[in-house]
Amino acid sequence: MKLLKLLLFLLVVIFYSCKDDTYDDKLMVGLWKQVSVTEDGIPMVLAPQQDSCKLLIDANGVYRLYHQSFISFNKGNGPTTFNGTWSMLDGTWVNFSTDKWEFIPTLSSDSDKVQLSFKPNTNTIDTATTVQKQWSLYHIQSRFTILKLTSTEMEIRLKTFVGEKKYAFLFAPNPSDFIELNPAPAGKPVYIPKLVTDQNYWTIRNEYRTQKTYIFKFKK
Amino acid sequence: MNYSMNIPMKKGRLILIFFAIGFCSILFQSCADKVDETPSKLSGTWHQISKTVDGVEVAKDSIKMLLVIQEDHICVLYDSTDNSVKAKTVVSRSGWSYTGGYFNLAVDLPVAWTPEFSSNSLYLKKEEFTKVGKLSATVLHFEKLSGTINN
Repeated sequence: MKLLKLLLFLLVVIFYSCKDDTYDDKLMVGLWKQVSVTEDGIPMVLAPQQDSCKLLIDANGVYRLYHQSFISFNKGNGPTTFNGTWSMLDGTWVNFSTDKWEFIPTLSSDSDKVQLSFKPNTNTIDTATTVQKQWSLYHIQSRFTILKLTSTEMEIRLKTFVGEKKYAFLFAPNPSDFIELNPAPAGKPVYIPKLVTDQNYWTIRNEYRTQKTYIFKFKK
Repeated sequence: MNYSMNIPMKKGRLILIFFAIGFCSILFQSCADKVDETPSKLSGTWHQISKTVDGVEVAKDSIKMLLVIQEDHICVLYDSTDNSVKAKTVVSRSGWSYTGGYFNLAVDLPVAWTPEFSSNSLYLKKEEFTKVGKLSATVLHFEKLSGTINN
């Protein structure tokens, strides 16, 4: 009888090990349209360029992102498609690799002023040279908690700093936070976060110290 | 007396054990992934016949394009047109993989292709965003050539 009980117990264990009550990664695959973004529960007002955001998730772990945040750059031929990778973890979280910018402006040691580069023999700021010294582009994984995933709806949550959200592709950035890099150095994108000056330095610095919760909703 | 009673008990246990083993094997089989034969079907030498964008036929990538998909996950593109000969770009090698139903060609990433087969034909389909955010489908039609080309 003990043997029978042990067998029955094993059968129950095997049955439940096959049963999966988490999200199925196959549901992620397809074309999604971003329908809303909330910041600490408050709906964010999105620019029309952000509102066009679409996500095409392929089953091979690659995703393609569409938005029009930079469409006006390069004389109206700015990039609209961006790529990354995705993976689901334990059927509970989804990782998206995204472009992000690190905030690295330097302050002068004597006056705490933001260091800027100027065009030769003028007082005009060399914006292209300066912004490249103030922002550093990198590509990292962002882990979202899946709140809802069905064949038609996806709701994912990310707790992060305001600056990490603003100056990143999560998913479509606000065009007002970016400028065109003209001319763009070879192999580098034509977009970069805005110029940091004495007027906005502390605002941006505080954005990287303020944590908020973002919920992104998508529909198929 | 006790001895004769034990025999049907042992039989019953044996039946239950066989039943349990059978049940377990069915469960394991249902959990196991089915073998996808697409990678082996992709292998071979393919000649490009046509190219369509959203169902409309457009110019092919080359009039003499051969796609050699090798089992060792190397893919070789042969373009023997005069232009390629002059530019010394006749042969271009690339790695390939098949994951999640997609044929990933290293030279084409991140866009991947969905393969479909029909008798002697291979159709590679990819979808990309257009400038206005709609999806546009490109389909390449290849026919399999007999024999192989060694590189």
